[in-house]
Order: sequence, then structure tokens, then C-alpha cells
Amino acid sequence: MEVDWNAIDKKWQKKWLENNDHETDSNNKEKKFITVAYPYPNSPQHIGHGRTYTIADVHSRYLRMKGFNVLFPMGFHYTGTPILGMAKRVEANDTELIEGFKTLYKVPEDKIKEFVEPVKIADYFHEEIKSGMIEMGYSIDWRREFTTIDPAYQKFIEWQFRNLKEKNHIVQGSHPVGWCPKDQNPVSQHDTLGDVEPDFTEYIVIKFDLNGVKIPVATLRPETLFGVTNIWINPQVMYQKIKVNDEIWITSPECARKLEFLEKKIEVIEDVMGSNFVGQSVKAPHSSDSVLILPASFVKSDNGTGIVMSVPAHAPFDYQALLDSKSGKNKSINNDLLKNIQNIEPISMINTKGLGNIPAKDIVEKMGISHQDDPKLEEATKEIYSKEFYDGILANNTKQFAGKKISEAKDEVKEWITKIGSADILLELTNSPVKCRCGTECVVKLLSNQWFLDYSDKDWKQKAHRCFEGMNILPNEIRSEFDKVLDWLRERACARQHGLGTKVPWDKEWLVESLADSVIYMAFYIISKYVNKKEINGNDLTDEFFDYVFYGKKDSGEIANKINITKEKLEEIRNEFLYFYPVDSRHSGRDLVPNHLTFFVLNHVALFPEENWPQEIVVNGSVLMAGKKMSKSMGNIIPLRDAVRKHGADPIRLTILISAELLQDADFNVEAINGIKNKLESMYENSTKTKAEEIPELEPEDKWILSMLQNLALNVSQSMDKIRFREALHHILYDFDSELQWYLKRTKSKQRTNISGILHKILSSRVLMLSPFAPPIAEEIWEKLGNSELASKSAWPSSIGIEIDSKSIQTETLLKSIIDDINNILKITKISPKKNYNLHCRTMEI
Amino acid sequence: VLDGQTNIGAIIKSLITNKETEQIKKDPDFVKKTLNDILSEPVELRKGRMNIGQIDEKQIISSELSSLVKNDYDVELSVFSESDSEKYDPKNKAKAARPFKPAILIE
Repeated sequence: MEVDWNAIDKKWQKKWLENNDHETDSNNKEKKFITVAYPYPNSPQHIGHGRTYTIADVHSRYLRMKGFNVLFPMGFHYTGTPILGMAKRVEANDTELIEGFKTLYKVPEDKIKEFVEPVKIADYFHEEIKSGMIEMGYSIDWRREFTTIDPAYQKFIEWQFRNLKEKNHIVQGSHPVGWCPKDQNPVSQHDTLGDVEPDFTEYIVIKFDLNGVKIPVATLRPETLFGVTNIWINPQVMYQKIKVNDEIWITSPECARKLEFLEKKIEVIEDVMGSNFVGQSVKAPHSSDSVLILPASFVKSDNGTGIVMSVPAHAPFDYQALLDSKSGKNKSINNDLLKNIQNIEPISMINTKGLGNIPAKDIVEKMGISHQDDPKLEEATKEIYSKEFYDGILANNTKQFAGKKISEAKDEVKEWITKIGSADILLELTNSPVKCRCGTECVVKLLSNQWFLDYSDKDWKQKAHRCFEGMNILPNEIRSEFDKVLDWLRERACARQHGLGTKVPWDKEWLVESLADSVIYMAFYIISKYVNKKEINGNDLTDEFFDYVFYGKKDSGEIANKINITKEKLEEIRNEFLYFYPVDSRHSGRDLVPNHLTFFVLNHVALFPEENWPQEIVVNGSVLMAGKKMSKSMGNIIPLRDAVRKHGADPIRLTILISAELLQDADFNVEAINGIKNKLESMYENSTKTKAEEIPELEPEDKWILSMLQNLALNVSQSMDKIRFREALHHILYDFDSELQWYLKRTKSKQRTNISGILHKILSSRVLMLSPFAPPIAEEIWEKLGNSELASKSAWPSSIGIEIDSKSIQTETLLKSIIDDINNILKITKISPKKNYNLHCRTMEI
Repeated sequence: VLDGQTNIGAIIKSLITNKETEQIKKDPDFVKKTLNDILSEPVELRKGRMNIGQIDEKQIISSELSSLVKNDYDVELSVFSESDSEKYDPKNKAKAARPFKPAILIE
């Protein structure tokens, strides 16, 4: 039977809207507050976005049927730089972008012309996304919708920021940030191409001395200075002699550029080939001895300063390069130098249980490494480093540090070298290249006198850890990732110079950054309803108002007076906050684990009392298109609304959900969607065949199929509670089919005609279970089954009110196994039965 | 046999010491096969069996299987219990029957 999906979608969406089915206020029922990360409207949604929202919607609908008063709201995140960047590109007549708007997103041309204004872009896609959400059947309370540039929201963010500053969670200081040199703005995940969070490494720069010129080497292991035997330079690289504040340094040009962003004044004096330094002696900061500068090809100019110190006893790269140098094959080493090199021996300076005196030598020999460009050297380096870091003790030749553990001594050595004026800091991107959305390659900048959220605060982290411990994390395997993120988090720039958003309340030159103004907005859904109903005016909102609504501080009458509302209305808002908070479940894609979701918890524990801390986080993976990643260049991005028009909302929802559990990648392909359509169509067809006839006195097979149905209800409910939607859908749509077939065979052979009532009961239960997943078609079938109430407003069939009948299960199992045996005998003996069957039973007393 | 003794020797020993079941010593193979039958069933099914106790296989098969067999193969079915003196069993199949595993003779 052909189903007109779009017509069914429209029919039921209209009905839900007319009934205000998804509008939720506080009442005397138990509540559930389900939220999902709101969209950033700079493009229409595609199938991938649909996954998170669909999961949250199914969750909301399930809980509603379980009898909870469920609030599922939505807002729109206008804040940030990407939309600004797009507007600039439209203004510059960027054909690639404009073509994309036209062909991929089907934006009318007169609209595109307006896109020079950033807000117009946001407004256009806001409406586009909202229409898509309605078409997908999401059960959202639209009365609470807002954008992050609404006046009321800006007041809310100002309150949040003043509050965080008062609690010393926002501090002014100098900290490294990812930075776009062109936009002159800090960058985080949302500002970069491919949504990469810039990550950086801090190197210690140790300055060796060459007749007054500094030869800086970058290292992660300053303590190994005591084992230095020489310096490595790449003879093929053109280095630069630069003035760094008051000193003269030799570095690679890449390093000179990095230093510019680290609050140093850089002046390039001249270019010098690396080979010019080969054979020269430099003085080390820790002793009066000099060491030689030697050539090595493994030294890369884009890493660190482009010059490294050699510690052959403990660094496999250095050990191998020293062997290579001694071999005499390196042409940039002349005979005199070669003689001197022969005298260089590794200096052991760390004793580690389980490792020899010269661990680098042992591992190079063990792994069969034969030259300095061998990729196995990376692995060898990691292995030794981790052993020495945890179990290594500094040897007697390390002066005042002798006897200390590496893990402790590292910072002390660093401090000491800094004190004697021979150390500096170099920061570089660990995951380079990271590109800003404007296309510029990003750098690490030491941002001074800037506003930072102090996520390095130990007490704050501790509190957040405590919140996570009490939370339900789905799937639970993601929990350790959150712990790791919390431990690694450091100060984070929370202000920007450009973009849409709220001004930092005490420093109006700056705007609140987009991942800082989107962490507690779930609380704003309570207030937005009253703003939208015009019962409060956004411009009137004060810190006192928010303090009252969220904390119950001060006198409601007095505050109400100041903002032109009644005392009763203000108390109603407070009560609604108390009713809906905390957030019972927060849904999001996995990419938001290291940022938004962790900040969401950090900010809640900072700003709200413990009873208002979040209860659950649900994380999902992405969607593949027929096994491939979605990307613009592949041309395989399907806008969600296009897909709905083509296939209908339900087949899309089910196809996304049935292919994977939460963390796995879901796959969207034509065969899958057709399979789902066929399945739903056959259920629809069956609905026209069964009637709610009276159920006769139960025969054994009736008792059995109803027991099976009861089992199904139990299994599906269990899967639903764990948000194992793939499993639940398989139970509902497929697993039960073989039972049904057996039942039909049994009743057919008994020539029964009185089973319509039972089939009706079975289909009714399955349709109710299907309702959160495929709401419109479930309503349609439910109506065909003769119900006047909506399926979505019916009670979830946790139980069908029948006790599982063990005897009938034993009976049917016995019958099935005999039939199987008979079939096997017939297959093996190849006889076809003529006269009759003889069966012998032998029973045993147990 | 839900989660207790699964050692065949021990089971046979305990069966023999019980007067009601001592005749089992003539057919130790039966115990072994039956035990394997039970162990190959899902635990839930075994639990169900424990809970409801003995069921009358002959009664179930006579009343429920005939129609299925008639429907599937268009032949008649006759059912005998093992101790049935009237049973029709030219090939002595009855010996192979076990609980929940009736012997089948097809002609």
C-alpha cells in the first residue's frame, strides 16, 4: 500500500499545533526537562544535524507517554564570528559562497543580496531550520523560542558574567589562545574550518651561547640539559638572525613568526644557512663546558626553534644521529670535525628501574633502527619518555637535583634555568595547521590583559567532577573523556573583538565569546516564555530579577515594582524555574564533549545550587551518507528539508536511528530508507484489516502470543530507558515478526476466525511503542485502529496487563521443536509422508 | 539443573539411590542425552519449566499438533505415550524419546 508521507506529516503536525500538545507549563505532575544544543543558523540543517534533535525528540515523546510533564524547548545561537565572516564574503562577492547559497541551499537571489548584513543571514536560516524542525515532527514548545541577541538574553548573559566575575571565575591575565592573525580574534572550535579546537604545546627554550649570540633550543624535557653532548642544526635550512627584545637569537623563520605572537619584539637582521654553524662551539648554561653544533637532517625548521639539543643517552633520535655522524658518511662533516665527534659519548643522567644505563642505545638496537629518518624512532622516544617520566630518578651528575624524580624535578629545573636567565617559553599549535573560517592559518598568541574564564581553578574543577559523578552519562563509556577534559582545561579567553552577541558588561570594547554565552541558557527557557508573551519587557530585566528567579534572593514585591510586573507574576516565574530545573537530560553531538558539554557543567556548578545541577548528558555520533563522510566537496550533503519532502519525516527519523546506537556513526542510504518505508507501509496496511473485536476465551497460542507481547513491552521499555533506540526499534519492528508468523500459522491450521481482537491488541501495542519514533504514521495507524485519542497522548505500554504464561511458552516451544524435527527428518530421509505420523511421547517425572 | 549439579556420574548415582528412579541404571545414555538437552536450552526457558513443573506432553501434542501437521503436510497424526500398551511402534522408536523430545515415526 502506497503511503502519502507528506500528507500524513502535515495532517498530524497541524493537529498537534492546534491542540498545543507540546506547550508545557508547570503543573502537579512530575516533570522532565529535556534540552538539546541549539543550532547556529549559518546554513540549513542537513541529515547529520537531524540525528541529535531526533534522539532528543524521541526521548521527550517517550517520557511524555510515560506520564511525565516534559519540556522540550529550542533557541537559536546567533553569537559568534562565522556569520560575520559570511556576510563579509557576500559583500566581497565571493562566488563560491554565493553559488553554494543558490544551488545547495536554494536561497532566493533577492535574499542573498541582503546577506551583506550578518543578522539577515542568521534570520533567514533561523526560519529555515525552524521550519525543518516542525516538518521533522519535533515536539518543541515554540512559545519559549529566543535568539542569543534578544535584549532579554543579553541581560541574562550580563548577569551571568557579572556573577562569574564576582566569584573570581573570570580573571584578567595573560594566557595563550588560538588566534587568527587576520581577524585579530581568538579562535576556538566554532571559529575554525572543520571545527577543530586549537590545542597547543608549551616548550621550554634553553639558550646556549655563541659569542654573545643566543642559540635557543626548544625542549619538553628541560631536565635532560644535564645530559647534553652537542647541538643539532639542519645544514640545509636557511635560519634567521633576529633581535628578540634585547638579545640576538638564531632561529628558523617559522619560529621567528611564532615569537611575534608571544609578546616579543622581533626584528630580523639577516638570513644565515644552517651549515654556517656546523662545527662551532657553544656554551651551555649549566656548566663551563662547551658543546659542538653538528648537522642533522631530522631537525625540522617548523618545529620548536629549528635547533635542538642532543641528549644521546636518553633520546633515541639523538643517539641515532650521533651514530650517523660518527660513521663519516655525512658530507657536511669535515675530517677535523669527524675526529672531534669520535670523542663524544652519551652522558647518562637518569636512573630508571628496568632500563639500562644508556636506554636510547638499548632501544635503538632492540628495534633494529639504522638511520635517523627511521619512523620507529618516534615510538622509541615515547616508550623511553613515559618510563623515565614515571620511574626515573636524576643521577649524581645533576647537581642539586640529584635523587629527585623526573616528574617532580622537571618544573624545578625549568625554574632554575629561568632564574639564571637562560630559559624562555615557546608555544606552538599541537594540531597545526588549524585554519580560521576566513582561511587564515591560526597561531598561538599570548593574549595579555584579556578576560579569561579560569577553568584552571582546582576547586572549580573539583566541584565539576563531583557533578559528573552524580550524573548519568550515556553512553557511560564517554565518562572518562569528560574527566580527562576537566583535568586538562586551562584558562579560556571569553571575550572577542568582533561578531554578534553581548558586550562584556564592564569592558564594552569586548563581546562575550560564543562558547561562553551558551552554557546556562537552559534556565533562560523559563524566562523567554514570559518575554515572548510580553508579560515582561526584556529591556527591564535587572540582576536583581535574575537573582530572585534563580536564587530566590530579596523581596519579590520590591523587585516586581521596579520592572513593571506584579509580585504574583514574578513569583510565578520563580516557581516555574524551581519546577523545571534541573535539566534532566542534555543531548548533543560527540564533538561538543571537550567544550560545550564540559563548560555547561562547569558553569552550572559555579552559578547554581547543587539541587539545580544537571542530571544527565546523552552524546551521539555522526551520520554517514552511504558509508561516506558528509562533506561539501563530496557533494553528498542532503539538506534535511529536501529529504523530508522526498521521503517523509518518519522514514528519515527511523533510518537515522535504527542503523546505530548512540556513539556509533549512523548510516543513511537509499536501501535502508526503502526498507523502513516498506515496513511501515505493511503495518499501515494491517491496521485496515484488524478490528477491535472481543477477545475470545484464550487458547494456548493466544496465551503464548500475548505473553510474547508482554515480553516485547518489557524489553522495549528497558531499551528506551537506556536510550538504546536502535535496539528498541529492532524489537518493535522486526523481532516480533517471527512470533507473529508462528501465531498466524497456528491459528490458520486450527481454522480459527476469532483472532482479529488479539491481532488488534498486538498492533495497537506495537504502534504505541512506535509512536515516539515515527509520530505521524503512528497517529495515522492509531486512528485507523479506531482510536479517537492521539497515540502520542496515550500511555506507554510498559505492560499490556497480562502475566507471562510460562506453560504456554513451554507448549509452543515444544510444538515448534517437533515441527523442526519433522522437517529435519523429511529433509534427511527425503521421504514424503503418505499415511500418517506416529509420535511417541516419553515424559519424565522431575 | 538450573545451576546445580551437572556432573553426569553424580546425577546417575543420586537417581539410582532413589527408589522411584532406580531403573535408570539400565539406560545411562538417556540421562546423558536429557542433560545435554536441558543444558542447550536458554536459562529463561529452563526457569519457566522449573516454575510450572511437569506438563502433560501427550495431551498438548494430541490437542495442538494435529492441526499443524494436517495443515503443513496434509496427513493425520497419532500420539502415544511411552507406557501406552496399545502403541503402534514397529521400529521401536519409542526408546529414543526423551522429555520435550518425542520420538517421531513417519510412514
